[in-house]
Amino acid sequence: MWRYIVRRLLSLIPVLIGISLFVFLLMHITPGDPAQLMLGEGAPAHQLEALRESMGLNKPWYVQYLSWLKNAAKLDFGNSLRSKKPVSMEILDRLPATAELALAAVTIAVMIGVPVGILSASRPNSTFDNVAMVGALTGVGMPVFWQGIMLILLFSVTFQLLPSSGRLGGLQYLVLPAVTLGTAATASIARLTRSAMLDVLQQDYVRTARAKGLRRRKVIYRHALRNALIPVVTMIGLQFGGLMSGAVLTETIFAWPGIGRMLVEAINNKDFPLVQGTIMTFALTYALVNLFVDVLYAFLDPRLRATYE
Amino acid sequence: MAAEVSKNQSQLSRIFKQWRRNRRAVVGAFILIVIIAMAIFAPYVTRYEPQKQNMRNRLQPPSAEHIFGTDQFGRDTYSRVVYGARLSLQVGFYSIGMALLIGCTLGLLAGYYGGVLDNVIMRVVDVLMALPGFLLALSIVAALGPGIENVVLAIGVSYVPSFARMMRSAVLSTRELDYVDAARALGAKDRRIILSHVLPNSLSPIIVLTTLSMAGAILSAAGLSFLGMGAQPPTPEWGSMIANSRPFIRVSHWAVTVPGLAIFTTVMCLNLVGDGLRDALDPRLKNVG
Repeated sequence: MWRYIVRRLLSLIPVLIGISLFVFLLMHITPGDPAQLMLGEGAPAHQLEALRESMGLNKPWYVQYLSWLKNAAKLDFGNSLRSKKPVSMEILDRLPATAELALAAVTIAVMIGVPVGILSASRPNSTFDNVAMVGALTGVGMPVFWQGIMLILLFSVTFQLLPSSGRLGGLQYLVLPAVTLGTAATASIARLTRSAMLDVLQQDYVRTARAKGLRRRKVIYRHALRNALIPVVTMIGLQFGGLMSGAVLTETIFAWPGIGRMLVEAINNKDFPLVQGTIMTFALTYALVNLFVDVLYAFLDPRLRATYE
Repeated sequence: MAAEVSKNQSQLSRIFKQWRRNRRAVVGAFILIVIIAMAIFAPYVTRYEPQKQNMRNRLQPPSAEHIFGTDQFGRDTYSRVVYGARLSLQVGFYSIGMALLIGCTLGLLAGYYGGVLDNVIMRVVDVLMALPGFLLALSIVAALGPGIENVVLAIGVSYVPSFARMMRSAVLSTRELDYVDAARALGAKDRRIILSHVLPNSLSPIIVLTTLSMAGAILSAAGLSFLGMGAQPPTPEWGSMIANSRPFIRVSHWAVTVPGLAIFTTVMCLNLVGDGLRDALDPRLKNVG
């Protein structure tokens, strides 16, 4: 198992180098002069030139990239053009807020999505199943930013129950953003749990379990559920990508001080080092979560576990 | 040959019959057709020009004059939503069209030829998949600058990996089939084998992926426009309408609610049609649900 994890970790390196090159080139082709942005509009030409020289902006792009990569490997992404603080500090400042939001969203998604999927599958085509699946389709199709605004309209403006923005001040600040971010994931997990359960319920061992006289309930929870949850675990991992994308929009709507909102601000400010650093953070997190899910998957499925041992 | 044609037709009609039995998919398709028709005939189904301002008539609730009210510039929300459909549907169509063309070509080449080419293509795909699609599109738009053309390009690129991967695996599974071997033994060239054997056989997963991706692309485009990186005001675009009317929701929420419902309806219908197609095309799932 350890060998598998190490191999997977090593295979991340070329992908991360690839994405860093991609992001670096994207920022490189972006119109706008970082030196100008740092010094402001009226800066004299010789100061601009001196700053460009000291920032290495006059060197060819691949030299710039290699020196950036060398520093990035040490988690040094340079300084923000705007705040002048190190990018890694800015990210570390904002990361806990995003982690908190994402964790809350995943919790909601699993706590609601899995039971709804199981109940739907245990009574396919029942009223509950139909309502749940229409609800799930609604959840998948709703634009996250619009849903956030609608929740604000309902719970903050009309009923004045929950705050509409900010983070500090208690759990009530987390409710609306977490529900907004978690909805699409809840819907996907419910749909997948249902279809995984239906798939498993058609298997021979389930028929055997029923044939030997076990109660329906016992068959569903003892025999079917355990096997159906394996693909669901993968799905939770896949949902994480959607969660990261959704976080950018959710944090923007609720003024949630995480790295998603910081990315949008950095893009608007043309703060290139901050954009690069944030995107690399997203890529790294995404990769690690997927790795974790794959390992968990191998761990949960004895057939796979045997191949990796 | 004649027998083959009639067999194909019967297969198509079987799939259509199967699909038609799925009531949700049929309803979805019907609503989608209505939306497309409204977008095409926008000037005939609206009374106001989408960009015409009327400052004396700002933030009105729905009335006989303006069935969905007016926005902060007194523009008719209904007209703007109908014209907005043109843009959103086009963005979905062009970006996924681009992803389909590039992704499938790459997937075909990688799957059919294998070796170094396969390795190079799939490593590039891996890199593009290292970021979730929306974030990839966001970083591309961040570099290219705001604008609807850049949004199409960015979303197109972000969907290339899924098409490439799907096509590659479809090719790998058909390449080894007996009749492809037979065609090769008869001296058929690569081009012919790809075009007349491998490609048609991989069609069904691609149709499903195209429909579902179109829904995702419309959502992403609206999200990018909401962040101010897509269509620029005063262009009627659903995402930017929501963003621009948002400060006024305490006074009148209609200019925010209706565009959101439009996005939601379009995306949901595309998903329903796609789900229906998947169930009809994949006999394994036929009896499920």
